[in-house]
Amino acid sequence: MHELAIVEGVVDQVTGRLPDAKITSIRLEIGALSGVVADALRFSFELATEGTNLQGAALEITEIPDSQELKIASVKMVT
Amino acid sequence: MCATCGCSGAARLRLVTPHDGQHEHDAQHEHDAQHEHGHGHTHGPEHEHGRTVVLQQKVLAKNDKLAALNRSWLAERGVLAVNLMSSPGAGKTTLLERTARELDLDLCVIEGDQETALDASRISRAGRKVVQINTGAGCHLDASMVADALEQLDPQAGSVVVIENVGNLVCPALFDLGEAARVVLASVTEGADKPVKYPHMFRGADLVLVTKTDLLPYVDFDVARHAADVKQLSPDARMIQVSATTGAGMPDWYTWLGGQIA
Repeated sequence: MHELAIVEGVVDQVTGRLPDAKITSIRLEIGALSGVVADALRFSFELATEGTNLQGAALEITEIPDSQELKIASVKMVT
Repeated sequence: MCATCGCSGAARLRLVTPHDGQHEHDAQHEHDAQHEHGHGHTHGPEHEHGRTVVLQQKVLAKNDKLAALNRSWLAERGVLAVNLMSSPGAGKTTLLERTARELDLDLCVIEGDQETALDASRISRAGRKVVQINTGAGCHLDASMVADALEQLDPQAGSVVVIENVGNLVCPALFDLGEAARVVLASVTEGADKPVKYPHMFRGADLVLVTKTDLLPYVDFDVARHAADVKQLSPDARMIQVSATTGAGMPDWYTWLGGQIA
């Protein structure tokens, strides 16, 4: 279940860049060749975001064909 | 080019307000109940209801950064690091035990397992320096664990560090450790279908070692089909057949390792 480690990486990066923002939604781009499963990410997301400023945020996942990359595309936040 | 804001590729922070006209307004946009609209109030571009922040940032950026640090640390020391990966039981430790006894190079090993120091004991008995990482629930090694292990191991210039990853054909493929080369083991007892079933692992391989070849007469393993499938996923990967039990093919593995030392 490397997806949990992936989601923890997402949380670390977002809280690091935007420590004071209340994140309402986040969009990830997942390359179809990245070896990451969207459903497993969703499963880990709630767990990994608990108690962070991403708690309760909506998770939106866009699959990118022929790509190996995993990216945090954007976040929506309330300031 | 990024479809949202037209920025070009590289990971950087860009702040966008939903009201600047260039970007899509968020349909779900919610007004803070406490927020009051005064009529004389002018909305500036930093309008505070909510905003979209385009990050376009690699999810594994932190691991990649630590891996790059490991890579430059190893290069400065003149140490070759190899990431050894396979399913559990493919023969990574057995290969390393024999390698430890026979290789005419300064070799040390980082062992990754969820629990126990069994593998480290085996390498230690074979006469080489070893550090064991226990990942607990973790299914792979990451660059931070390897950084700690390298510091403890303190490999000397001209030496080879083999990092034996947690036995797993899935997760370790994703995590760069800072290695110079990736070696994937495929044992003949596992069946020849592993490359097509676990393509991510084989796609990144620099060398595929087909292990336990002494058992080929007893198992149904199509060597040619396996080689063709590996070649399709990783056209430049070298393939070597070995048996750590009989020693067959081991010299080719040692020659390959020696050839990786710049």
